[in-house]
Amino acid sequence: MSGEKRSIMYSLLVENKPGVLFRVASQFRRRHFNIESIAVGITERKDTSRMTVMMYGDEQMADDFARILRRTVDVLSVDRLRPEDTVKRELALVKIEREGIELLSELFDDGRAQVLYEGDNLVVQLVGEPEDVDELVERLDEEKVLEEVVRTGVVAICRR
Amino acid sequence: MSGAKAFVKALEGEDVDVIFGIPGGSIMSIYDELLNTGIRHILARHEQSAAHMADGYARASGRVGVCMATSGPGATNMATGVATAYMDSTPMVAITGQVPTYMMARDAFQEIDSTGIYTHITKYSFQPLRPSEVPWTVKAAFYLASTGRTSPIHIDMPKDVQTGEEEIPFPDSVTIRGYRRYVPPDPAAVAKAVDLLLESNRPIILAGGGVIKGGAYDLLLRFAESMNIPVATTLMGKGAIPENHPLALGPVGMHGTVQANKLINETDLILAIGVRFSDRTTMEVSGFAVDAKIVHFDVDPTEIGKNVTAYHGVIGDLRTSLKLMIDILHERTRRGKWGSWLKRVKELREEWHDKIVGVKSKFSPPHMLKIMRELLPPDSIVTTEVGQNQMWAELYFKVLKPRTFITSGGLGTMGFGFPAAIGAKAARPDVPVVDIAGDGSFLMTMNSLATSVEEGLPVIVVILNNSSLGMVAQWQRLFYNRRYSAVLFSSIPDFVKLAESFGAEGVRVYTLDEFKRAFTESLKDDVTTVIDVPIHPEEDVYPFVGPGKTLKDILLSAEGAGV
Ligand SMILES: Cc1ncc(C[n+]2csc(CCOP(=O)(O)OP(=O)(O)O)c2C)c(N)n1
Repeated sequence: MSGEKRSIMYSLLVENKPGVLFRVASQFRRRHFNIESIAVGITERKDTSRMTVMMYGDEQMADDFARILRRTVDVLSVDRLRPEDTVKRELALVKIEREGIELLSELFDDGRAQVLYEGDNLVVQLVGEPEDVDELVERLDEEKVLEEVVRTGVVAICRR
Repeated sequence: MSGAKAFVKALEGEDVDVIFGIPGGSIMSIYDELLNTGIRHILARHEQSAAHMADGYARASGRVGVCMATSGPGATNMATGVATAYMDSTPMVAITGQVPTYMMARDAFQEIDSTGIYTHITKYSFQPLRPSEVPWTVKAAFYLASTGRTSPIHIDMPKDVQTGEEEIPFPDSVTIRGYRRYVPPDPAAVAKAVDLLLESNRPIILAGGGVIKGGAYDLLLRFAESMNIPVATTLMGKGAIPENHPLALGPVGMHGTVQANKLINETDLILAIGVRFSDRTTMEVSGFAVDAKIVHFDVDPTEIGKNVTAYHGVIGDLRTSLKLMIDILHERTRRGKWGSWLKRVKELREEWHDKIVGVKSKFSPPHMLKIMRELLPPDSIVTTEVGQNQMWAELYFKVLKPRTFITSGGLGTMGFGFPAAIGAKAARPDVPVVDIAGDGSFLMTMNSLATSVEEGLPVIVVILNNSSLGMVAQWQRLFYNRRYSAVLFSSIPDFVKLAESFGAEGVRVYTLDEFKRAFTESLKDDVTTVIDVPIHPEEDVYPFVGPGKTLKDILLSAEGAGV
């Protein structure tokens, strides 16, 4: 299989019960597909969860794998999320050194960062497109103030 | 009601008439309740064999096979048998005992994460956590096992779920939200397949195990006959068409027939029906049927495009697809025009259909397989072990009816054939059942002799005895400069005495006449018989397509004769 590799996103509805994540993750593992990001949460229905999963691959892989996920018992539906009609967000909590505070106001005057805690160090929330979060984290790291990063994984919704 | 009682009641509700298994601490309550039912329990001597028996039962009957084991070692022993069934899509329910829920994940005695293991070798693994969940679980298991792409399903039964008492509901049916069991084929997709067929000049059908599992063989035959399309099969598809039929070419693959392997490379259209294009079928895939468009019919959407690129896919139940094709063709006046192709098919078939190639002696397995075919009624069941014995059977035993050839195609599990034969006999006590064996494979599960004798399930085991792990030895002769590593047996049991020690019959034969006599005799007797046939230790299986080669590279002898 060949073709240009890019980020592929799936939005799955699954049963909200133990073992489902294991079954889904096993399908990736067997094929040596690395899950770049996964976010799971309950939906408007108690018995149903939404999984947003990201991996790298080409078109062929993406199509084949959608069928594999669809066949997996407990997976209720599988949608490919195309970049052109998807709104996506990721949230990161970062811990930075106190000195980073000036840098923050300088770097993030656009509201993408919000200080949640101020003490010996700072806890900052970053929100944006995953690429934006990447960039912000990178900047903090370059300035050598970054201590810890915790990311939620990408969540996404189809615009239509 | 207790969970154990509910469990067996639910099994009765699924019309289970036989269970193959071995009891143990964590499954005793279910075993106790079994005594209150009419369900027959067949005691295996190893859980792997219990699963193979259930597998043989299922393949011979088309019903769901049931096997059962205790937790821990029972569950791990049984896993090989369940994995074997999984690879060949056998409908099966595999039951294991489990430690009580309150002991789980503490490394309790005989605790193993069975659900963790079985998830990878079944379509689904259930573990009810309350007695009230038991009937639903059993119903769901049988439903999943027997619909869509059939498969083993696992049920792990914690001990306290068996012993616990509560009000237990019995559902009449189940719905499983996250399961699409059946996609009716898209009529437009079927129509396009028909168009492709009518445009083609040299079409061929490649029929796989799905045709047999899906009960589509009658329709397949009707379709092939009405359109005059030759039919090759996979190993698992043997029996999809009577192999003595003028359109039948036999199997394609590593040990496919010359005519099938040649024609699959000459065709311009493969109607692939219920096949998964295993690497043993296609061989080097870049050289597989390079001039052909592949139209792939399967009930499992993930098969389309998995191993070969399909020009066109038709997803859905094979019976419905075939019926639709027949109907559409009925309405069309145009007929395929492939007269010269059929001439070529006939020519090759006549040349190779009955030919034995590459043998060293006149007392060879192919000769014996022909004798067996002559002596066995058409609906007799033949199972195989794994190795040369299996490949000789693939090539030289002509299967005449569906569900009468039972072999471990996907996993290639040595030791499968004998217990599978016993299971098949339990399903079809009215027909003779024969296991075509190698000595190495037979030694893996020959303790099933005890079950066969004890349960009055007589089968015939023909050991093609080369005192070695023959198939591996063949590869060492051909590809490792005849350097034998760990394939020659120097301690060889006396299989005649071995059989006798279990209360079975044993006989050794040295000529084809003796073989004929012994085999005829064993067909008359209703006792388990082991026929030990010492063959030339260097007898190899031909035709053969070597590993990494394409189906064009057919070897007919060790000296490298090709065609
Ligand atoms: C459980 C298992 N272990 C190992 C193998 C690898 N293997 C494939 S064929 C074969 C030799 C089989 O020997 P035998 O049963 O005597 O049959 P023969 O090839 O001689 O007919 C072996 C070891 C296997 N298929 N299954």
